[in-house]
Parts: sequence; structure tokens; C-alpha cells
Amino acid sequence: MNQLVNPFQQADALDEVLLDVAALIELSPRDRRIAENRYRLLKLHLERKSSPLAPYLIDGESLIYAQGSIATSTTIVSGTEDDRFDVDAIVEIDVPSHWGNDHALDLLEEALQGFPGANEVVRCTRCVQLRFAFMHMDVTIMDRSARIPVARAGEIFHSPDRDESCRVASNPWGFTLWFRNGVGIGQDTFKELLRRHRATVGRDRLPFLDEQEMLVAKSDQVDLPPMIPSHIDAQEAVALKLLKRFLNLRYEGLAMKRPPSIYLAKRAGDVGHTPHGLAAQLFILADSTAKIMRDHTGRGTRPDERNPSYPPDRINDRWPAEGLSGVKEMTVFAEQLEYLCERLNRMVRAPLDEMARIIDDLFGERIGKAQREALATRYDRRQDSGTLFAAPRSGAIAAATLVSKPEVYREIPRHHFHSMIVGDGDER
Amino acid sequence: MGMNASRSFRRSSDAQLTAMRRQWPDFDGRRMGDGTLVWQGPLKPKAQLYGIAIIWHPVNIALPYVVVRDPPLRPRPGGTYAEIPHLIFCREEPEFSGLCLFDPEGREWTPADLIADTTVPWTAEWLVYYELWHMTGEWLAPSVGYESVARKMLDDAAAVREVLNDVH
Repeated sequence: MNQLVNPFQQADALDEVLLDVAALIELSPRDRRIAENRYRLLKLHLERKSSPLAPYLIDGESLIYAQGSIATSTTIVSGTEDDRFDVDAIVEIDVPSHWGNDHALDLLEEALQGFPGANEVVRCTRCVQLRFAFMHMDVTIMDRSARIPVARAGEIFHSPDRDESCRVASNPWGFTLWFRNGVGIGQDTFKELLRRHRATVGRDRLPFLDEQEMLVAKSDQVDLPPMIPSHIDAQEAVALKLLKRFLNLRYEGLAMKRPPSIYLAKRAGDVGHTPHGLAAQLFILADSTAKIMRDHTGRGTRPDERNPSYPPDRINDRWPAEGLSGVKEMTVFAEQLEYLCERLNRMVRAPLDEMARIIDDLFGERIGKAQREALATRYDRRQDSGTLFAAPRSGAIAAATLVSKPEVYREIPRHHFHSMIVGDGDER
Repeated sequence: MGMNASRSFRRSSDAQLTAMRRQWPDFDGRRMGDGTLVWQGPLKPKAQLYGIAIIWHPVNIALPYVVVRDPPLRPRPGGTYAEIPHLIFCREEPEFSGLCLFDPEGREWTPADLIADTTVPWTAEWLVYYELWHMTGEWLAPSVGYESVARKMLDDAAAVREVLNDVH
């Protein structure tokens, strides 16, 4: 329970629902182990003797590493109907000076052929995508030959079907460090609450590629160096997951380019932590970002967000577009965020059935249904009446499974609800 | 069982008023001219804020009567007030029905118990399960007897039909 605000203004009930949603959309610990195993396989596959990239992956340092949401602990399921996770990897090499700007991705595409368990290998503008069942891994080549005096800064390749190829300054490693250092690993109270929600709501999704992967997934500890940075449970990271899920659904039906995830991560890091809980964290993130968009459209400018660890890395270099279409993109983005804020404001004082309808709308009916089931199960005391807690003053009710500090609450005396009729002299 | 094991003991009106003031400071409590005690105040068991009234008289009203004043109780879409679970159902004015918070036959509440310790947290609990009932269609809390007056009437009608069928 957040004790910083008037108990009648607290958003604990909405936080409870949002924490369920967050636990439902994230990678489970087992799925993280599977993803980690695939990063290991990526290294093995690219370093195999017949790989055209093998000669360039020669020093002992880890040249292949996770980037993007998996590194910031903000990976979520994509789409309304399927449970797919999208993860990213960087392959750092010294690109020979005579290679053209398409050649590194050409070789990467060739080297990734035959990747175990991948159904497809697809060339994209800046990466090559490995498509597994329920998981896509975007692999990007980075040239580190310039030896820029910033840890793991370099250039990636922009190689479109039409138009000229070029190089783009990039430092995803530095951005990950900036984000992780900024948000920290999470406050103890919040982490404990999230752990309790995960214990009842979290679910495994990724199917195994083979028996080896099944063994890896079932083992709590693997005697190999980690390929994915450790998990973080900061409130800012959880709010970012919720925002990403909301935007995924909102943009699904829009013929409009959306801002890149890294821009949202930068905003989440810039906003910082609020002590007023998860709903407030999400509201502040959405509200402040909407205001930035409105400010840009009002002044006729565009956001130019830089990677704090390496400013030449322009993290939203492809969004928004120049000119009127960019104004439209920013306006539509602001509208989505404002809608989210309005819905959060409504939910913060809504009864559970109305809240459930809004959750369906914001995060998808499949997630909403699972959340309702989790909530009902948590409070179902028909078979075992168990213990229930009420907070002083407001009477806020909390299920025993979520209460980590029972001293803040009072235990409700046991009793049974009943029914009777009064009036017209017939009292039963 | 209620909070106080000694069933012959009765709490005085002053003790009830004092305990309410101490434990639920946002409730406004007063003693009417005839000795009836009335409290009005807010509860926020989940996100929705409710205005509650509790009425009790140490002699004339056997059980504390709790009414939800704001927002008023509502049936499920397309349903009736009589379907709302666990009410002290008022036929003439269903919206003034009280909440049936405990089993009187099980003596789960007696005048030996403080309203502040029992009635108020039970009301907050009732409201959460009322919201869950709106969401799921099921009453998920421990209860005894009929879930609602409507269900009792349906069961009574079925029993009468069965008897009539046997007679014919």
C-alpha cells in the first residue's frame, strides 16, 4: 500500500490490475532462459567453421550480445492474437574498409541460413530477422573498426531495397547501460509486489526447439556466462511494458508509423521514478510524452533524441518523418497517449467491472480475460475463507496473497454473508 | 464468531461512537433524539468510492443496518434488484435495501461487538464482492443460505410446483 497519499486518492486497486497485466505480457523466467539459449546458439552458429562471418569473430571478447528490450528487461508479447516475442542481438565485427554498405548484412544473411529451429531468415533494412515459432530475433551487424573511445560504439548499416545504403552511428550497449543505471533494479516493495503477481499470473509461452532447449528451460541455473543482462523490476520498466503493449494494439489498425521502442525507453528513463505507484508512473510517462509531441507540433519542430551514452546516435532518426506526414505522426501519437491518460483517470475511480472493460480496450481482450480470471481466483474464498485484509480509514481490501506487510492492514473478522427480506410483514 | 466472546455483554452507544471515531475518522457519527445512532462516511474498498450509512439503535434495531447511498446499488445489466446477492431486501424500495453482512442464526454479530471492528470492514468486503459479482456473475465470498432473494423465490416457486404436481 502506498502510504504517501491520502488513502482515498490512492490507486492501489488499479495498480493491482496493472501488475496482473504486466505479469501476463512479459517473458516468464522459463521463456527468458529459452531466449538466452538462442543467443548462445546465435554465437555458435555464426562462429561455426562454415560461417562466412567466422573469420571476423575471432577475439575472445563477447562480440555477440543482446540489445533492445531484452537488455532493458522490457520485452512483451506482440499482437492481439499471437504470443510472439521480438528480441534483438548485435554482432560486433571489424568490417574491412573495402566492404560496401550492403555487404555486411549480405554476409550475415548468408551466415544465418540453417539456424536451428528458425522457420525463416528474413533480410530487413538494418538487420536480418530469425523467425522462430512465437519469437523473432533481429540480428544487427555493427562495425567497431573505428575504435570510437566510447564503450561498444560503432556504426550499423542502413540497407534499404531502394535508395542508397549508408552507415548510422549507434551504441545500443551504452543505451542499455544508461537505462539500467537510471532506473535501477527496482524498489524492494515494488519488486516484492510484482513477484507476488507473477507467482499467480505469469505464464510460459515459448515452445522448445529441441530437447537441449527443454533441459535449459527447466534448469534454474546454467553454468555458462549470461547472454542477457539480469532481470530488472523497476516500476519505470514495468510502466514502459504497459505503454508498449497499449501502443502495439492502438497502432495495429492504423496505417501510421509508430515511434521506435527505444524512443519510449528513453522517455521512460528521462521521466524517472514516482513514489505514487504503477498507475501514476504510466500516467506520467504517457502524459509528459504527449505534451512533448504537442509542443513540437505547436512549434513546428521534431524530437531529436540522442543516445545519452553516445550523442551521435540519433535514436529516433527514422521517426517522425519530415514535413506534414511527420506532424500527422506526432499528432496521432499524442492522441493515443492522451486517450491512455483519460482511460487511466477513469479507471482510478471505476468499479471492477468497468475497469475490466477498459483493460480489454487498452491491452486486448485476451489479456483482459486472463486478468479477470486472475483477480477472481485471488478473491475466491468460497471453498477456503482464508484471511482478508482491510486498510485503515479507506477500508481498501487486499487479498492475503498480495499483502507483504500485514501490520499496515487489519484482518477482517470471519463471518458469512446472508440474505433476508424485510417489508410487508414477511421477514425471513 | 463476533469479536467479543462474552455474549451477554453489550457495548454502550458511547463505546460504539468512540470506536467509530477512532478507527474510521472520516465517518460522521451522531446520536439522534430517540437514541438511534447514525454514521455516514466514505469507503474505498477498491477503486470506486462509496458513501455509506450505518444505522443502529441499542434496543430498537437488532442488527446494524447498512445502506449504500452513493452510488446507489445497481443490478447487473438486464437484471433486477432482487438478484443482488446478500441483501436485507426491501420489497417496497429495493434501492434502500440493507447489506446482509452476517448470519444472524450463527450469532456472528451481537451487541457485544463493536461496529467499528465488524460492520465497517464487512461492508468494505461486501462492496468488493459486489463489484466482483458484477464482473463475473458469481458471489465469491463465504456465505450461508440463499445468495439472493430472487434465487430464493425461484427455489420456492419450484418447490410449490413440485408439490402441486404430486397433488395432481
